[in-house]
Amino acid sequence: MISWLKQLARIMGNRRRFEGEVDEELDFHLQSRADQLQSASISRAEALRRARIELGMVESHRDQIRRSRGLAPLDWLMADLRLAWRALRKTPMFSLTAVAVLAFPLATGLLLHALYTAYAVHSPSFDRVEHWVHLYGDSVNDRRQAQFTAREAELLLAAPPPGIEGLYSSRAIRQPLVTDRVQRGVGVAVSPNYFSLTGVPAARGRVFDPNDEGEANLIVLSDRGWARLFNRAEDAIGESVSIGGREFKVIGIAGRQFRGTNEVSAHYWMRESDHRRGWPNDKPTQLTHEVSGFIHPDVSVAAAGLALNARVASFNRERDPQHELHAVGVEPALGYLRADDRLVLKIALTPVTLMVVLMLVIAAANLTNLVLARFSARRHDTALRAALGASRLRMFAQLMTECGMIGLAAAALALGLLATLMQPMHNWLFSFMAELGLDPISIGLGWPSIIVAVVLAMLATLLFGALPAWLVTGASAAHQRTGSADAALKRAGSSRLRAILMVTQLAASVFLVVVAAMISGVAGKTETTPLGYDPQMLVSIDASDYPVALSTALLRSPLIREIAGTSTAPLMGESERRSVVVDGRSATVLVRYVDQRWFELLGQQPLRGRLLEASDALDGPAALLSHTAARMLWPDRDPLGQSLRLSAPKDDERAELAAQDSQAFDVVGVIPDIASGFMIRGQEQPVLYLPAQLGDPPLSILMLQLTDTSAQSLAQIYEICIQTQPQAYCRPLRLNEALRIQQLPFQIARNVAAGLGWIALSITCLGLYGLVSYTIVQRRREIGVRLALGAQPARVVREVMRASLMQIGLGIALGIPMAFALTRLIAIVTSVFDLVDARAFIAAPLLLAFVAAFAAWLPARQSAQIAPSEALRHER
Amino acid sequence: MSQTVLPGTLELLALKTISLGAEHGFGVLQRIQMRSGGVLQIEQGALYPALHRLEARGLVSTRWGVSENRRKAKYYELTENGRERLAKDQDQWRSLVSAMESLLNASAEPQT
Repeated sequence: MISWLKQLARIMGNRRRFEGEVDEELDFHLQSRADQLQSASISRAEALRRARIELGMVESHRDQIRRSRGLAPLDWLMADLRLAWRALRKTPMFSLTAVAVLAFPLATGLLLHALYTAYAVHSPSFDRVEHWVHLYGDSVNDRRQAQFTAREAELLLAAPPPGIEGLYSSRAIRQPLVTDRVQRGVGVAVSPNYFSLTGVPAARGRVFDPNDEGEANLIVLSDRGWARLFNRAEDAIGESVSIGGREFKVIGIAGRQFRGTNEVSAHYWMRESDHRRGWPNDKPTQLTHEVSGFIHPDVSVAAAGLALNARVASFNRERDPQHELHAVGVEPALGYLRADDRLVLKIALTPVTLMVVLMLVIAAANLTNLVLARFSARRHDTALRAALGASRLRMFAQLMTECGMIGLAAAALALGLLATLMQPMHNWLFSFMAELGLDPISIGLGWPSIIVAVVLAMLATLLFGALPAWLVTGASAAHQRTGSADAALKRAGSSRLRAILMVTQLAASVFLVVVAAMISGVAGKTETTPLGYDPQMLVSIDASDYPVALSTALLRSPLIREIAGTSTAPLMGESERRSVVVDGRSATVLVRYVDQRWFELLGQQPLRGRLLEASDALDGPAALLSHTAARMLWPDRDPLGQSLRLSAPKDDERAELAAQDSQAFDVVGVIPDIASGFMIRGQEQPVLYLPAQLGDPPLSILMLQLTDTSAQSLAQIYEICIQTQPQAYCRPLRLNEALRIQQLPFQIARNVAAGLGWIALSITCLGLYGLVSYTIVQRRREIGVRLALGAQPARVVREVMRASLMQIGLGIALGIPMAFALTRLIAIVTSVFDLVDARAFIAAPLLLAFVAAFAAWLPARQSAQIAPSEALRHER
Repeated sequence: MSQTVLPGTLELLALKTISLGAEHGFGVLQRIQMRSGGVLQIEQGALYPALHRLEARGLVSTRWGVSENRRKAKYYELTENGRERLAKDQDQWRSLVSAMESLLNASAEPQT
């Protein structure tokens, strides 16, 4: 087979020479036979004549020889390609439209594929990446834990279970990096064998050596970290970096562009021992360490997991009850995500994938329509070929070649678009990470993307090309029998098929446009909801270790205007949900502990009663309600002076507050609603404000009102924080940044959904335009006759438009319930879509109907301009 | 009495003829007719596709040379694969002929 293919390739490489040799061989035969005949006293001319007769039809022999070499299918293909190229070149508008219609959904699909591959399939460049594994624990309530305690990690590393060649540990470091400004640096504290086990070498300097624990406080930078901290300066090795107020010396840059094993690129690695020395206050039961390693090639993952399970009992002896394990296991490591996260990514990508599939279906339906119209227009050619003996299969193959060429061109355009736009789009999609100072991993196009593009394009080609090609070639075959291609096409139901396809894509477009409008509405909510306070000068900082000391130290700085304590940083998540009991009824509210300065800091005035005072925290039991909470709990009564009872907190660490919480609270005031949790939920959240003072466990966050929130000012705040509480996670965060981080994912979702919706709408309108144009060409003669008989041009246009308008109406009627069902499903699963958005369900379909009707009207109005005399001359 | 070759036997005949020595297409045709005493008549046009099929399957190799009538000719030679194939096909053919022979020579068995 291989030698046959080689021969074939050689022949195809020099086809002219092959053909020449065949001619020479046949000519030799002819001349030799003529020589033989001439020797029997026959003239040369006569001898040649007889030799030719004996040899038979030379061209037929040539064909037989080509076939025996397997060249015939290639010859057909080449001929088909030439024909297809000529046909496509003759109608550039059709070709460009068809290629673009297919290329956009293909490019979107490829982008999704590249994203998934980059995060969930491509693994770091380890030597034995196929044997790379992660260890995990399954808790008693069946939650998978990727992390172990420091002690467990230590035990595992000291004695890896049988079947595992070596284990390393890693834990994320949350300390910011300080150069001239405070920036989020992604660091990882690793066991000293990390680099030797993974086989990642140093590109410059050196990496950690498991046998060298001599010098303390060393870090290895990743290429990204080197770029960010030192702008890739040659003399970075030996330089110092301040991490969490401590100085670390750079000893090397990791090679192979290694950027860690998580979805966010690491900037530096430090040794676990240095981390423990610097931040010794970790609770021994805290789950912080990921443990990974390499499995022996002959051992299965399941067997290694079984061996590991023997340690469950010893781990549980030192674990908190809520973190107790019922199993420990080993999972194969793949990509930059753990198995659970990979599943989450799959779930997250599913709706977008469905939208892309829907777009591909729209594109395919559209192209089917265009191709059907185009092939039908060529029915006379096809019928002629059929009459000359071409088989239906050959004609089908020829038409499919044309579709395949469109598909391949679309794949090439999609790949070209992606090669240019993929990285900028990825950066844009993850720009919220960049705003946090994080670097997402980079993505690129590889062979798998090219294969996916070609396979998807070919599938789409089959989807849009096969049916029209089969119908038209069938009609031509029937034409041979009946003499009427038009009748055959009609019998084949091509016009009805076109109408069904148009309705299908209109319905799918309505669906996409409505969903896009819904997402847009949700995104808009995060932007338009008023906060109820001015976030401009507000900064939050974690103060869980020494809140009083930190507050005192900060108040000495001239930058501070006001400080307040709270249990939840505004815009950084929701407060705890708790049940309250009022007059025997139970309701859920968000509970926020605040000190008396909170309201002043946010500029809140009471709507009823008074604000919380310092004495409330000591004397209790006073509570303040948000406007929504007051309306919810006492819809028809004055809440002032009423009392309520809280359920016990879920968090065991706050058990000491349970006694206080189980008391009845008297409502002393009502304040306006503010948006401080997830913006998507808006302002209308029932919030119960309970008094506390700095030093009480719930008040772990300080809200600062600054005179200036520049980077330099934040660096000063950071310095004060790290000096006061060296073990804490000091990272001052502007409220404006938190707001932006909340809004960005929705803005991106809106832009993506709107992009997909607009593409779907454009494709559909393009198809509608093409279909109506084609219908007019088909009905030219009939329209001409009607105009000649005195029909009003406007009436003719209305007549032509009627079919399109019916299709548009039917498409919308089908698309809206589909969109409604999906958005209800999303609402049930995510509680994101609270209401049926009237704008999405009425305005979006109306817009689509208007645009689609315009796309149909543009060619339809041409029908009124048809000159009857010319139309009557028009060939049928 | 001349007759055309049995379907499917042209390649075997060509292989055998080439095994007697390198030969061009016209020579192969002549040899078959001569060695069969003029009984086997080959359709001239069918020979060349058969030779190309053998070449494509690697059973014969080709080279260009000069013929006895001083013309440029394409010569076919048996390859090692071709030799093995010929031996196998010959065995098959002989067992087929022998089976045919015994069937054709069979006489009616006496009734008991």
